[in-house]
Amino acid sequence: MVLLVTSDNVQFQVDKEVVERSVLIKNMLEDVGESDQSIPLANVSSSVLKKVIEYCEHHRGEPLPSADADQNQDETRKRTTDISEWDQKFITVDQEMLFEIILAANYLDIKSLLDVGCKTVANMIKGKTPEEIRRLFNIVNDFTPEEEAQIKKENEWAEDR
Amino acid sequence: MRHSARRRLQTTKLLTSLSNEIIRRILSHLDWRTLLVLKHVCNALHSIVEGSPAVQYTIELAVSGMEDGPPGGLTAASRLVLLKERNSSWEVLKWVETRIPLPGKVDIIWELCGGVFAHSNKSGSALRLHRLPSQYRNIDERSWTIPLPSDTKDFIMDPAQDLIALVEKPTLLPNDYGRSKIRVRIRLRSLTAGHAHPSAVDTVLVHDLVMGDRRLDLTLQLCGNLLGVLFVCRSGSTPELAVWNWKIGKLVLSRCSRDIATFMFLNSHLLLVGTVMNIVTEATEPRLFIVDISRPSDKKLSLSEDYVCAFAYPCFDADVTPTTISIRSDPSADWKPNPEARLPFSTARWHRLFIVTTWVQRGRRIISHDLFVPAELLLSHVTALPPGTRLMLSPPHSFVWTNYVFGTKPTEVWDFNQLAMKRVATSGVHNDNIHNVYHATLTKDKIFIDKIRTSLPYSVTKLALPPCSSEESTYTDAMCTEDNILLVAYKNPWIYGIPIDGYKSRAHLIFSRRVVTQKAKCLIESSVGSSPAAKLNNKSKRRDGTFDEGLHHMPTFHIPV
Repeated sequence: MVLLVTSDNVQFQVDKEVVERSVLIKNMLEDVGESDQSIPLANVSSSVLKKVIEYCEHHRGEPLPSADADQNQDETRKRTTDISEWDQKFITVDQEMLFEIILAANYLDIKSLLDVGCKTVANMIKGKTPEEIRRLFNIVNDFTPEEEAQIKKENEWAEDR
Repeated sequence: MRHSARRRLQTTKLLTSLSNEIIRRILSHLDWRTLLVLKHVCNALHSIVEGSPAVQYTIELAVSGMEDGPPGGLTAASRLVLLKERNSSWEVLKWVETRIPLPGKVDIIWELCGGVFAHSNKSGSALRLHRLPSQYRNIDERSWTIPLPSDTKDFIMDPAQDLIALVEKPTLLPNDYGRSKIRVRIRLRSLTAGHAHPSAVDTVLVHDLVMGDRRLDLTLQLCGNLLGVLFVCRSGSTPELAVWNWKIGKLVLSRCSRDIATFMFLNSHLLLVGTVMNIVTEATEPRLFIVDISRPSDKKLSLSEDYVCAFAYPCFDADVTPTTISIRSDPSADWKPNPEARLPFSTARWHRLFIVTTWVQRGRRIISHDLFVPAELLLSHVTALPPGTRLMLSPPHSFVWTNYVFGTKPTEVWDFNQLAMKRVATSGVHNDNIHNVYHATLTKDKIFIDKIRTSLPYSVTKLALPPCSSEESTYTDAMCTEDNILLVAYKNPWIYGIPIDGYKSRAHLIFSRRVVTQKAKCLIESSVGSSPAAKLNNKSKRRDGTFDEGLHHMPTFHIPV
């Protein structure tokens, strides 16, 4: 068992096999060797870590993607946004939690979880107009009217007839 | 209260406060159109879209009608550079001359596929192969020779699968209860080595045909595991269309029907079959059928009874008789290069163009029309000439699309890539070499009862021909691959040489695999962009003659027909 401590000082006892889906933690454990020391996760809150552990528990024992495969995939990533049924259910959370999970997955280096999060955001964006995307993510339109006209002109060719 | 207000404040920043690396990861899951929409959202997303080579590469691939090659090796940034260089080279069309001398002999057999040109030698004992180079896709020029069995009638090849299928001249079998039969054998060999193909279980396919005559015309097509052969007997026996899974040596379709005139693979289970005869009514009537070969079917069934969907031509005038039909698309709709070749990109499989030519007779005149149809449109279920296609008179003096204007006049490359055209048209950049044709083609001569209006836009790039040597006198044909344009020069009247441009290509060529001295039909196929969303789906429309309402109001240009 490994002891994890979150940013809000909550302790989690987790199976080594489960927690090692995080490349960050796996490397830390390898560095310190057998030890009872707890691992502080200053960037992850307890509510987020709970979700992350739930994800790792579910995917326990599945092969981890190799570093090499990761690199190749980044180059020519297939543009599929398919997410398995369980993952879909798991990632159905409010937007804030979704971004927190993405940040945690990035920090803890859990590639499959990061992908699920990024795909989910991509799916939210697909098929929406710029205004709908702004509303969805609370983004302020910071273009000047001239800039906006210019971008519209640049993209004119791509619009459906 | 204070706490929740702080939380909301945080939420307002969340998407754009993710690191650029994470945002790029999100963008990697998006299609090119959504990526362009994101540019409109805010400055931060605009600069990420503009500044990421991977994102720009995704957009550029879509506009170029290309798909990405296998991963590894080149980064997205260097692929993007190559793709842009390649695209601009297709606008400039600069010749790089290489000559392939051909034997001066009437009955050589030849073929161009997947950037490889093959032709038989003078004695017919060997096949010479030339892989045409591409600077931007890292393809080296290479020439080699493989043995050619002396009894070879025709062949087809697929460089991506290292396959060449050689069809023997048919042999007459002993009379079978009054029905004469002939036997055809097809050898499956390695294109690079000439020996039996390692992936084929049976390296010789044997097929018996009920035909009265050994004089056959063959149409050969390859699509992945499928090899299709249309046997047409010159003495008038019923044609037979046979399709094999060449890897396991299994005949998956054998259809004998009087109405089959031409065929082409649409994908690994759909065939496009052309006919000019309606067996039911005995009327001549050009139609295209999509046939599903994965469905079990009776070999005697005629096309009219067993198809997925059919495309009808508009009604012809009473004194016009359709005589024949041909379908061209090279490479076939599903073709992709060998992943081991590690090409950075290649023409997208879903962006191919089919060219359907119909010949009609009025009195003693033969008139042909070419119909340009994007493959993805054919796959949508329509029943008449759909919008987003173009029907036009074939050039009268040559069948060649790249250079049907000869001599000192420039030649032309036609490109049907819709997205690229639209982008150039709105960019304000003007190139004297290129103009776009938007206006509808109207049929004249009262071939059809009603006026037919079709209007798939295309761009025309003017291409100056390199000077001919005095011995060659003139170029007679042009062919096109993904990376090259080939010109065929005849020397009294044999082929003399083929200069190759080692730089270009957006267009691919479509042409019949026939003896060189027959006039080869060369058509440009090219990547086709998005098809118009509107679809015509009722037959009544084909009588009123309007096939496209969505015309651009743009300057019109004369089509040199």
